[in-house]
Amino acid sequence: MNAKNLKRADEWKSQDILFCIAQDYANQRLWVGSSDFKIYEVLMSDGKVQRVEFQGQHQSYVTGLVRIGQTLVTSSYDRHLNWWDIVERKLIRSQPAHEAWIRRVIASADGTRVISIADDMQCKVWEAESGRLLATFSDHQKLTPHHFPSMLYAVAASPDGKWLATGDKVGHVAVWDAERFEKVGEIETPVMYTWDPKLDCTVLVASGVSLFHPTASDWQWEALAKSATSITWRDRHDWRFSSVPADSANWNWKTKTRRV
Amino acid sequence: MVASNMSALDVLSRPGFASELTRDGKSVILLWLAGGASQLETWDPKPGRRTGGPYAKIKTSIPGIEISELLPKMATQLNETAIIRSLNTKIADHGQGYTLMDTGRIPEPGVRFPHLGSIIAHELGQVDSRVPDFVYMYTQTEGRRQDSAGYLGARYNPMFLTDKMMPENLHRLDEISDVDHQDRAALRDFMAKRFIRDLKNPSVGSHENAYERVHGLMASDYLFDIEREPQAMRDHYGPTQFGQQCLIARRLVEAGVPFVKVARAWWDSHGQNFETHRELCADLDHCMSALLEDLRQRGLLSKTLVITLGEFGRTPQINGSLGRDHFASAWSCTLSGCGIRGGTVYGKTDDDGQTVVDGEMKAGDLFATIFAALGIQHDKEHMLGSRPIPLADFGCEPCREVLA
Repeated sequence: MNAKNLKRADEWKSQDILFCIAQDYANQRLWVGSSDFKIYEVLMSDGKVQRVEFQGQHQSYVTGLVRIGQTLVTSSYDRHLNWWDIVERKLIRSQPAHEAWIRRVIASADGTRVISIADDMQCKVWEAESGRLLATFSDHQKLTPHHFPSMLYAVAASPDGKWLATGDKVGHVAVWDAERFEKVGEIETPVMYTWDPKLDCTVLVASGVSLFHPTASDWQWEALAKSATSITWRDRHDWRFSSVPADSANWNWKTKTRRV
Repeated sequence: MVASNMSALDVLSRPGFASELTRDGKSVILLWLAGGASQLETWDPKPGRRTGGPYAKIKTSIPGIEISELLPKMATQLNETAIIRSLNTKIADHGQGYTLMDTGRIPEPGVRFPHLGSIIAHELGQVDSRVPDFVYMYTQTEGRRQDSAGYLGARYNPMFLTDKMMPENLHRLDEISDVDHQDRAALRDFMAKRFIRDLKNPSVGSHENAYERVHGLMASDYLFDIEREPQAMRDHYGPTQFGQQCLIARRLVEAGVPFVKVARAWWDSHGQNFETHRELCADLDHCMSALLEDLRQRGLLSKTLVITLGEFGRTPQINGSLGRDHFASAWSCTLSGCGIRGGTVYGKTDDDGQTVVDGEMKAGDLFATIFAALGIQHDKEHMLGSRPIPLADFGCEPCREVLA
């Protein structure tokens, strides 16, 4: 898919903040998780948008949502994972899952597992249907180098089911064997992570989308910065500025040589 | 000591001599939350409301008082702290809001109102002090605004520290040994005193005072050196810049500096308010509680007023970037220590934090309260030419409910 060919088909606004989304292309419907602690089915037909609330709710922001068959699994700042019946539009099960805000929940490619990450800096893998905990693992520090609470923001599963990756606030990415739950690689992706004025080195990324691509057995970081508009790199005394056009397709950055 | 106080040079003939005695030895540490901290993520949480955001509130050491879960350490030691939840200062612009909360009044053409710190320095400082009267530590964003002593004169301008926590140009030159430095000062002092004795002139005396003061300031540079503190004490405040500056602030007030302002940047959370406050509140919670505990253990808290304040608060409404914008209609500050009735909450906002429903307080009222806590008469007047100017703005009164 070439992003340049995308055209906006419709626009719908809501008063609340929608943190997560899952879609059912065939039936032209979406499911969204909201800042009002609820989840909704959004139906689109004949140019009209109808929003239907599910019975039951979380106790805080709904931060993650994934569809597995006729079930939705959601995550929340309330530290729970919830299971929902899509047909009945109601809560099936709610279970405590983490010790801190859950940032995201995804599904494995085959749909048999759900994976959650939270600010307890742990990644957990669950049986998708039963909710049974299969594994807990982490390679992320609870505090940033500036001694502030860190967050575990990102998780991804490879399409072939072999790998998982988790990424935290300070830019540490760990890559995992999805069966043995052992770390097989790591990548440091320097980002701005603190508001402490005492900084030795800062990289500010205005906006960006990053994907990680394995090259043989050697993990190299390739940033596909499709929407980054500027990057500022600061050493102790030198500022370096490079600007990436908004429509650039690829941008490779070698961490050691610090050259674009 | 009282006779050398700049505002009490003729004490025996002045009324209120006893009140002037009570001001002695008192200091202020202002923790300036630059950019405007969110009252809903600090002192006046509204969980469960549409405006409340995702954070919960927690019980504190004071029954019936709850604050944000982001301040767990402060929740255990509110016994010396009064929370004011009902500030309505109306100005939600950084520059004008800063000026208002800096001086306690709306600016007027032709008058340069002094900063709170300059007023305190004038009221509590010593004319022959060998330490700074007013120190302001800051590095980034809105706190770069330099406070002014206004009509009180340059004597009361702050010593302004930015990138470094050590004042510049205070050290003697490396080419001059300490012995030489002391000998030079002694020779200059000997000759100056003879000169003053033979030529009685106020400007000559002022010149001499300036030299004495500079010499004293040079000798006070050790106050900014936290390496002189035991590692355990430095660990107590933590490794962040804010923590280190709070430690310096304690050292300064311990040495008799009347006013220290420590500004912490980045509270202006128009986007990602909750992520921002997660980190900033952790810093504030740790450093403020460490500072209060340290002052308490040293017997200084009863003579030190610790204030948390900013230009304004933040909107109850959460914007599309998960941020909160500027808001001055119902926000919070705290007063701890000297002259304060701890364990109290003054004022109340509505369920969503949109308006003040009880105990509305203006900037001038807050200033009057601060002065009263320090034993300073809030309606005492300076004369600017023939115009009387009270320390707190006309019609403003201290809040007795938070005063001990």
